[in-house]
Amino acid sequence: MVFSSFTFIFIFLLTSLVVYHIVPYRFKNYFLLIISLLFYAWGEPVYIILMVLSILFNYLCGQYIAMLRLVTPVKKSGVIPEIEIIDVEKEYTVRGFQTQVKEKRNLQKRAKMSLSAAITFNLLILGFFKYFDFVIRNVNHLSGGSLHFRSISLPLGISFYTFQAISYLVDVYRGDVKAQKKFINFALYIAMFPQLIAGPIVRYVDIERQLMKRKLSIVKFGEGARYFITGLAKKVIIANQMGEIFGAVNMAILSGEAVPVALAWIGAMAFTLQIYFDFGGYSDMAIGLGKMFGFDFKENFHYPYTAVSITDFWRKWHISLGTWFREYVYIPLGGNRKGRARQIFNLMVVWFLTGLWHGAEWNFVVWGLYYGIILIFEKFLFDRLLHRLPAFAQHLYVMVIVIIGWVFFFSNDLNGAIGYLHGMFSLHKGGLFDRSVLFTLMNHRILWIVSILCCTEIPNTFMMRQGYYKWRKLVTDMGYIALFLVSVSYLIANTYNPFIYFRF
Amino acid sequence: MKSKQNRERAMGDALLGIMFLICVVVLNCAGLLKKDKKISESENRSLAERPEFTIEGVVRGSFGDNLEAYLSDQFIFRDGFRTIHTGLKLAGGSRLQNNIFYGKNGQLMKNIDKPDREVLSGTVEAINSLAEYVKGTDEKAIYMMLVPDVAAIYPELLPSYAQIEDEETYFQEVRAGLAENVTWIDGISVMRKYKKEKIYYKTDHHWTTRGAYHMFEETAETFELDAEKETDYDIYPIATDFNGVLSGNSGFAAHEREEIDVYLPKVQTDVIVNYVDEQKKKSSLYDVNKLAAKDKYGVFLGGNSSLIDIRTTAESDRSILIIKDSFANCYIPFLVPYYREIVVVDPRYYAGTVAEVLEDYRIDDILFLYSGNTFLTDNHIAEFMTI
Repeated sequence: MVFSSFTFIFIFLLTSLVVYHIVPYRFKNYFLLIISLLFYAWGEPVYIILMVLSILFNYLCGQYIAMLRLVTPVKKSGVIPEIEIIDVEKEYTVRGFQTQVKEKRNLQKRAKMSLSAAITFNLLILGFFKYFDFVIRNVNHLSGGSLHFRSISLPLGISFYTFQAISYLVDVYRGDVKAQKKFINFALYIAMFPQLIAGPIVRYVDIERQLMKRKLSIVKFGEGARYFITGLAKKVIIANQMGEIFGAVNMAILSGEAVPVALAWIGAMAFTLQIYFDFGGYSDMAIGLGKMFGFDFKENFHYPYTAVSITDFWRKWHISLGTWFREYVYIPLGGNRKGRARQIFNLMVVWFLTGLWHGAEWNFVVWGLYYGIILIFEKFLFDRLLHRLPAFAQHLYVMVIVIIGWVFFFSNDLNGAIGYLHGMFSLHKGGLFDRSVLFTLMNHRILWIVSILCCTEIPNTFMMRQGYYKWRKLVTDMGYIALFLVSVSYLIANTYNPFIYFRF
Repeated sequence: MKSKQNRERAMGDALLGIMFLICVVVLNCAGLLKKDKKISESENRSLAERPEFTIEGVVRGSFGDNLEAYLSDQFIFRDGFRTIHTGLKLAGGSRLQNNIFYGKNGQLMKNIDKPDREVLSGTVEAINSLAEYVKGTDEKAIYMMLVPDVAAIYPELLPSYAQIEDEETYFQEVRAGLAENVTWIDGISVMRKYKKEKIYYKTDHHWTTRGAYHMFEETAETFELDAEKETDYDIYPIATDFNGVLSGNSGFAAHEREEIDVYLPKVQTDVIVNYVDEQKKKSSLYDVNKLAAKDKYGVFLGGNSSLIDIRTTAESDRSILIIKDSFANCYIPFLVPYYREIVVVDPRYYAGTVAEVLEDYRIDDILFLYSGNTFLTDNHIAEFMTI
């Protein structure tokens, strides 16, 4: 089920909200889990088994590691701490488990091995479903063979829930959190429908307390409604239309038509806006839905297109993913604590994986490495130079890099990406400019202006400030309702309603 | 101060929460109470019905899709919402929707796309092979009448900066590629000559009856029609609230209403219109039942049919086979006084081949009557023409 659909908004959400608020407090989590599973099964009736098994597996691993770990919450320092071992001669209990251990070291080793095994198993499952086709294809390509294989379909949300599970296990191992002893709460953490299909990747530490105790209030619900309406509008009004514009240009280029350079750029810019408002809109809706049920998720996007450097950009784009890779790959690899050469290596590994996570195809890997290299350059070479540039140059630099980056992202494969880039930089085929460029701009002139404006904080800040005044607040509230109705009208009229990040 | 502001903000959020909930509940209840509509007049299609719930359907995902389509189609105030949507898009500068331009003077125009080269050459080849065939057997005249689309005749009405393909060049290509014994009729110059009159509908892609009449006038000589039978016409508006296909598909000009005229000759010729595949016979070229539907252009010959055999009481022994798309439907009445029999085939619906038709009916002349867009992209013509 997609958030931007009639089935979701008018049937699923409405009924869920009503029943959720009626159900007594101690059953709320059970109900939420049930509807989350229903939500998932609606889109993925077969592989829901896989997710349930994954939840069971990770729950048990979490318990086991915690037991070995002898959890004493340690302040998070970012470094894997040495485990504190109590006097082994004495018996001790950990949450009802009774163990007698002969050797101090065994515990730590076993915990680490269990963690590694659990993570590996999780990644194997993810790798199998996501990368099997890719691997076989490349093996065929390299060896010249033709291993026949059946295409494996990607279970919905597997990239997201696997990463959430791994983050939980590592946090338990590190002692940042206590293992969740109630299965229902852990299951809810993984499977909760707002963030299950397309993030944000919620860290267990951010949600631990909320799982067990959260306050429901009409204020928070209203906040949630605000996020949801904004997200829906971003997706249905801006993203879908930008998608149409991009689609038309992309099709022309793919079919070999002579497309003027300016039009190729406009197509890429349309995609740049589409993916931000699509993914950002979806994250907004997820956050909003979370709030409606009493959860506060961290924001996933913070006006990334207002960034002043690529480093800045990646602190604002898909924040939860960046955080995940930093916490669970970069820092364990040593981060910047093992010398510059190692740091560069670590960064490249992270960006290679980031690219690969986004899709099982080489153009995604190139996309990841592209940013890895630029980030390294920024960190070590032009950091100071960038700071001294005037604002507009910084923004221009960022946007050009980002737009070119997206070409690798939206193309079907590397050849397609190079073909499109060719269209953007070579004057041979279609020249620089022609009237079709103007028409594409004029045909959606207000949309371009509005979307570029919405990339900035200006509209949101404006709306928030009105909230302080009695009458203006009423007007802005009605404005949000009007926006919702407009989104509904776009939903009714649009048959074109894709969601890009669904490949994950 | 800050906390008071926060409280104010919190109240605003609370209010929004309530309003949102009410909004969703109201829309939902209204939708549930409303009776399901079967057809959408404005969109000219049937609306989705309540889907059946089957476990198999859920597993396969078809129930989900059907449910979504049902909710969307039967949503309360659906037409109202669509109007809002179109209005916003127009205000936002949109002049092209679903490949239809919203031009100046409210003239809707279908975009002229690049033709499919393969299809086009296949069609021309097929026509040539037919020409070859009839040259060999007996003397039949073959005519090719391509009617330009409105955008080709009125490029000045296109929205600013819009670019379309040049239909004229493609017509010239076709002309050059056709065999010698195919008589080419220059549709473009005729339509251009009468530009100042209303020869195309604003909201539909078809030419008006007046446009068809002028074409008939100008080409009567080419067809060697008996000049003595020339007659005057009484022009009647058979419909005054026509809103065409282009409007329905794009959402533009949804409130525009146009006239459809019929040209009734003062000297009557009776006809029997035989819809061969449907096994129905009618005594009129006009099907007034179609005026109740949204696509009132269907009043001409009842719309498109696979094979129609028209027998007339005209004093002539000539017969003609017309291979056509819907543009011919309002043109055929003009031919009625001059031919004893008119056989009409639409290759998109007719399952057989031209050889079968030539066998079944005695044909003197063959006319291809197509609009540019259809001819340049339709692959059914070549299929039909396999001898």
